[in-house]
Amino acid sequence: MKRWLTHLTIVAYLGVLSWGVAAHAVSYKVGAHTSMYFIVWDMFCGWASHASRLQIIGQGESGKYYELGPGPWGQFKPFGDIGRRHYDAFGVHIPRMAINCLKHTKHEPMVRVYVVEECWPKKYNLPDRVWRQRHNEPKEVQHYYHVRHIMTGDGQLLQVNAHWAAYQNALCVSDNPRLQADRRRGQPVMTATPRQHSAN
Amino acid sequence: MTMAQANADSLNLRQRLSRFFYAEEVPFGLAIIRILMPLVLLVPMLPRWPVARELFSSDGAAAPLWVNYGNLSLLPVLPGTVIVALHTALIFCLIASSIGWRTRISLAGATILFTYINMCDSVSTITKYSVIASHVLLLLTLSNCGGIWSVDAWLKRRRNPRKGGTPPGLRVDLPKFHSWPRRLMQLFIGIVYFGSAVTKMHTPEYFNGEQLQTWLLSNVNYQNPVGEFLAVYPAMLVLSGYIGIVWEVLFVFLGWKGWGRISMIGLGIVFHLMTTLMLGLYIFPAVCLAAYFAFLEERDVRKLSLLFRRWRKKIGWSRRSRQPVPASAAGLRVPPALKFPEPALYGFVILATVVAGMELEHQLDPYGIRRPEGPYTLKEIDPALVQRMIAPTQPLRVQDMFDTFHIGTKLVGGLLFDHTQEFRQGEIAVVQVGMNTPHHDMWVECNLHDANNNIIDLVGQVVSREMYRANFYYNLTSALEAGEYDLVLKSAGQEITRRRITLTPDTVRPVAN
Repeated sequence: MKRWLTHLTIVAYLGVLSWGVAAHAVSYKVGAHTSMYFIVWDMFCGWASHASRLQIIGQGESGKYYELGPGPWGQFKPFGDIGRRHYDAFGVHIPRMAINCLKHTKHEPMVRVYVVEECWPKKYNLPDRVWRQRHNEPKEVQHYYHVRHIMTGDGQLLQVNAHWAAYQNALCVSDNPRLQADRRRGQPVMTATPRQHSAN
Repeated sequence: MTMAQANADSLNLRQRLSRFFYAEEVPFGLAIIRILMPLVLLVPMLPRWPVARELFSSDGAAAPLWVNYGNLSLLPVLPGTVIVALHTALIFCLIASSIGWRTRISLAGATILFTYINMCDSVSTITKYSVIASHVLLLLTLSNCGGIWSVDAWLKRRRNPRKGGTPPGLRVDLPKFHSWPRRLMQLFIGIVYFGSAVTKMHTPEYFNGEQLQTWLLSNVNYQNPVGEFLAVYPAMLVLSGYIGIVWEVLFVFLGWKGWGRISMIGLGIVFHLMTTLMLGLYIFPAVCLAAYFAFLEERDVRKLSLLFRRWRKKIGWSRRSRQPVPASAAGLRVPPALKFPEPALYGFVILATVVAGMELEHQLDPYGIRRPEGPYTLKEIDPALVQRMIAPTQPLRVQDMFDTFHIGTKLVGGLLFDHTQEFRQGEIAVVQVGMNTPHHDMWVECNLHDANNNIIDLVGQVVSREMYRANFYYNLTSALEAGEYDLVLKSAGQEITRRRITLTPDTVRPVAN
């Protein structure tokens, strides 16, 4: 009996691992369930050419702006020099971080909470000495800001935007008159003339 | 052909599998993993203990993994105090696993708690190294890794002392168990690498060096000065990338014996050490290198032990042979009235640790709620900065759509292999312009100017939005005088950058007929 249980364990374990690799290889249901995270080995799946950080800002009733990330008690830096909130690449959990900060601090009522993405090209991450070896031009970093979320003071989402790179990519694609004309042609249009209607 | 080979050849598949999974062995490798892995995992889990309430609980900003997958009610997010208790218990279980006290229970507790707590923070705790560690802890739980080099083994020996003792240097009494947990761990490591190779096969940017280059410049891990330096040599990155993927595919097939095992494990050690130097990863390589001890065979330990004994003999250092317990030490024995049954003692210690942990966390007051001056107040931000941050998103500057601007003579795999700024007449200069994505469809010029900034040649091309690189070729014929020139990169009428090159005369003169 014990031997059969062992057989079963070996077959089941290797079967599950093989399923993960096969599903990943043919991109089939890799995101179907949380358990897939434990058997799909996508350790190298996406690295952008721009660095990205997330800032959380609260706007009080007085019009003043407050820092909601990190909380005033300090920030946890999980893997290096940057705080935890910056690792939420998809911006799924950062609203909760803002609410947690509000929940545990003394403050005036908030009217808006903004989650802002801050980006810059990674080439500016080169140390100065390496930059000087490879670039003639001065290292003038421009930081780009992009609002990801707007929430009410109690955490209700009012606006959710795509991340900065997706937004810039959409700009690049849409910067094409022929494409825009094709898109307009494909959309159903209902003509309305409200002024004439009201005049009648 | 040796007798052993002849025997091996005569075995059918079933017998081979049976021998592979059910051979009896002393669990040396698993015992080392059991000692090392929990210690490695304490490195990320101990600093998270004071902030466990914030990271993992409903009294903080937990970021459950199951939310990312849309399984919203898969597991509960527990209250802060419960999470602190569980995290404390996890730390206890990791330490107990490492020393091998109530090994199986400790490992089971560590597996469940480590996996659950990691899953509660998908932002800054769970990564693929956590998943690898969870698998390893699970397989250790199923094994008899506590059979040697553990408190359990020591207690067992105390309870059942061998008559006459063990001859010094000969550990003939070490228990043997089936090898299947170790085999599963070996297969697991190989499958992880294979799966990782599949990911790379899905990523075309891996093979042109683009993603490796941007990864090296990412400051989301610890310091990686070597990576930042190598980021400007993409041709080398492509070469290492190919070596890496070939190794990952082959590992599960070759990593079993002989030179295959030595080369695969050797490359693995180099690979993981390079991830530390180039990417600033520490825990990931430590987890993987600890798991490599699954490839340590019993005969390896016997050989190493023999070598060690010979070396010890050679240098004349001998360990004192075991002495019988002195009579005076018997007096130190715990009186029977104070003796706890060992499981009860284990339960008492874990309970006491958890209670102490909860009390300590309460005293630490991570949110500062119980400070005499009351909760913290929020820090104000400069309104001008905020207005800049929440204004409509700015378009990209043209210079930010460009990454690198390198000049050389040779292209290997589509990448500039050499970097030079000195050319001889008759040579072809290759200019490679690296692009940052996203970028527009662009008209990019790379013009040749003389030392007085007069335009000698205008060369332009369309760089469409999916391109990562654009190449320009200059035939530096003898029509150009020797001297200094500038290669000027322009787009949208704007100069992005320029590089000076020096053209030297061709020393080989034509011979008259």
